[in-house]
Order: sequence, then C-alpha cells, then structure tokens
Amino acid sequence: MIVTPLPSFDHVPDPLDRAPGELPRPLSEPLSPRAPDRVQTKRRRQAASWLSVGWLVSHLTVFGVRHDLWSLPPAYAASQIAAPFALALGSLYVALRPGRWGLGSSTAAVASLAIGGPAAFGLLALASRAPLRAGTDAEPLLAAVVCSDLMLVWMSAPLFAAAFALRRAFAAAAVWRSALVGSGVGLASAVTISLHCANADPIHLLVGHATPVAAGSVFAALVVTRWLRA
Amino acid sequence: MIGGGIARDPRPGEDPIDRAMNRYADGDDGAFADLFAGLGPRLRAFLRRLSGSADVADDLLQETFLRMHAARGAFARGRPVLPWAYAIARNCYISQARSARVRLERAATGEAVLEAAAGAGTQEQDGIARQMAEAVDRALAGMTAARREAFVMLRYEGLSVATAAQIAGVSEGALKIRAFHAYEIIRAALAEQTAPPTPAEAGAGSRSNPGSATAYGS
Repeated sequence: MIVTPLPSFDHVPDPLDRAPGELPRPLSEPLSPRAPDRVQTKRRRQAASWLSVGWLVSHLTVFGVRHDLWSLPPAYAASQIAAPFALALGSLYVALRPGRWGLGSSTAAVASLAIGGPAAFGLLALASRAPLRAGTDAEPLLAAVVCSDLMLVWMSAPLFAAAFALRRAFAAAAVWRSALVGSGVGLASAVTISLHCANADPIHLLVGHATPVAAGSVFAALVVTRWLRA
Repeated sequence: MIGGGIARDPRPGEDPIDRAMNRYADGDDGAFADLFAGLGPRLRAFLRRLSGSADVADDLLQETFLRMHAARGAFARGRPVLPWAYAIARNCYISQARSARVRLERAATGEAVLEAAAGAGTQEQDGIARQMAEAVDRALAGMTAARREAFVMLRYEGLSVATAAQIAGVSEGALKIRAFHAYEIIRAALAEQTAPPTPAEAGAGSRSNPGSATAYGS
C-alpha cells in the first residue's frame, strides 16, 4: 500500500536524450478541412441546445401535458420534475466545464454524477408516493414499454445534436464525460415524459422513465464517445 | 519533491504557447507554426517514451496535431495548452495501440539508448551511464502502459501529480500508485546493474543484447 508522498525520481536516468533543437518533421498532410474556431463552435453548441429543447417541447406539445399537472403533490412534483431537471442541468454543466487545466472536472466527480444521476432518479421513482389519483393501466408492461420507447426517441435527437456540437470536446476522461452528457440528455427527456405521463406507479416510473436514462448514459459512453473524444 | 524534479505546472496565459493556442483557437491559422514549433519537440519526446519508437512517435505526433486542429474550437480560453495537448497525444497513442491490436507495450529496441548523450566523464563513466539507461529502458518496456505513462509524466515530463492524473483520467491516488510501482520496477532494474557480478558472471563475458528485449505483442 502506497502512502504519500512519492519518493524522489530524480536519480532515475533518462534513456531518451532530448537533443536540443531536434525538431519533428513537419505535418505531411495539410490541415483540411478547416476546423471550426471558437466562435463557430459556440454557435454550433447554441444551435444544438435550442434544437434539443425545441425537439422536446414540440413532442410534449403534440403528446400533451398531463391533466393533473397543477394538482400534483409538491413532493411528487419535486421528485419527478424538479429533481431530474436540476440533475440534467447539473450533469451537463459538470460535463462541459473546462476545469483548471482545460481537461474538465475531475474524473471522480464526473463518474460519480454519471452513475449517481440516473441512480438517484431511479431511487426517487421507487420511493415516490403516488398522488391520490394514481394512474394505472390494465397492461402495465405495455405502458412501461411505451413510455420507455418514447423516452428513447425523445433522447435520440438531442444525443445526435450533442455528438455534432461537442465533437472533439473531451481530451481527458472522454468516456465518463460522454456518459454524463448522455445522462443529462436522458434526464431532460425524463422531465418531459413526467410532464406528459400521468402514470404514477413506482414500477412504471422505474422501468418506463428511469431505465431509459441509464440506457442513454451507457449508449453515450459506448458509442457517442468516439465523436466526443479529442 | 514529489515524483522528482520541479513540477512544472503550466501557468495559464503566461506561456507564449498558450497565447499561440488561443490565437489558433480563435481562427488565426498563422499561429499554427508557433504552436508546432513550441509543442512539437516536447510531445514527440513524450510519445517516443510511450511508444519506444521514433517512427511511431513521428506518426503519432502528426495525428496529435491533426486532432488538436480538429478540436481547436473546444479549447477553453485562458487554460494552459500543455495538459490538453498531452491528453490528446496520449489518446492518439492508445488509439493506435488498440487499433493495431497490440498490447500496450513498447519495444526496448535500444535506439533511445544509442542516442544517450555522451557525458563529459570518462569512457568508463559513459559506459556505466549507458548501462543504467539501458536498464531503465528495458524496465519501462516491460511494465504496463498505465505505469509507464504515470512515471514518464512525473519523471521526464515534469508534470505535477494533479495535472498528470487529469491527463490520464484517473484519481491522484491511482496515479501515485502506478508511478510508485513503476519506480519500484525501475529501482530493482537499476539495483541489478549496480550489484557486483558473481564470479560466474564475471567470467561469462558479454552481456545479453538489449535489442532482443520485449517486442510488441510478445
């Protein structure tokens, strides 16, 4: 077991002599296509953000807001709408902040939130106390699958937009930061589905609403990373 | 001092390379030449220590700068470019190693040792220094890539534990453990070099050829 501080490595010789003035050979390929600069990158990200929000809002408009929204108990509204909204914003903020060295937040913080965000939403789903008029379905499995499918569709466009707007954005811990982006997108979709779906059964919330958030995080980590890694 | 030497953490904005990168990220293509001149040798040395091959390091350096070009819009204003560049270089090395389906090992070809600067000492001293450098080279070749990069970043690149951990995407504690294990391996290798030869060894003659050490995939 190692304890700090590390011993001095000064006495270890360097097998590679860096000869002064040794320059590497110039680039053999021209720098094309011309990569977007900061201003263009910022515009892309803003456009992707607005498109993602518009995508979710338009779908919510089409599917309709739940009729009992304004009569929901505060605790239920907090656990199914406010909490995932805050988690979504927090996840995207932590994923995208540059950090002290331009390499983002610490890997521990990113990983904790990438796992903790979806897990917390799942636990909130299980622990939620259904409103007095709890929506139920004759076919609970079908209802959960329908919500799950909706979530996955609603997450797809924002994830695609993120892959485009955040290309080469993560130089370090790219997998975890991509997972966090996926988690943030999933949680934003969870807010949307919570504004539409009146089924308050905890199992339905866990399977139909929370599980897709985790799936989005995993998908982003395994697939979207290839575009986001610098 | 932790890790060895003076930890040269970059100070944002003060370094000309940082200013060059900020100009480049803002769209000034003419700043690339300054960037390449400033970062190229250092990144090349880093890649060469990771890969053990000058040719591979040259190729990886090309790929690194191409990725830096593609990612320039994402470079955070006011941050030092060095950790960011190191992280991208490391990504290139890992990608190349994985795509080639080779284990993340490097060949102790001895080519680095051949370039070891001749010191101002006697021929015997130079020979001892060369043997020690060979031993370090073999030790680096034989250890895992994670340990090697941790040790290289702390000992030869002069990065702090915090910065190196960020580049590697691990916690500071994990990086220290890797560097410590690497150091133990190297220390053992150096101890073998300084141990007095047994009578049998003394009469055996020439040492083994360093070029036959661990190769890729073996």
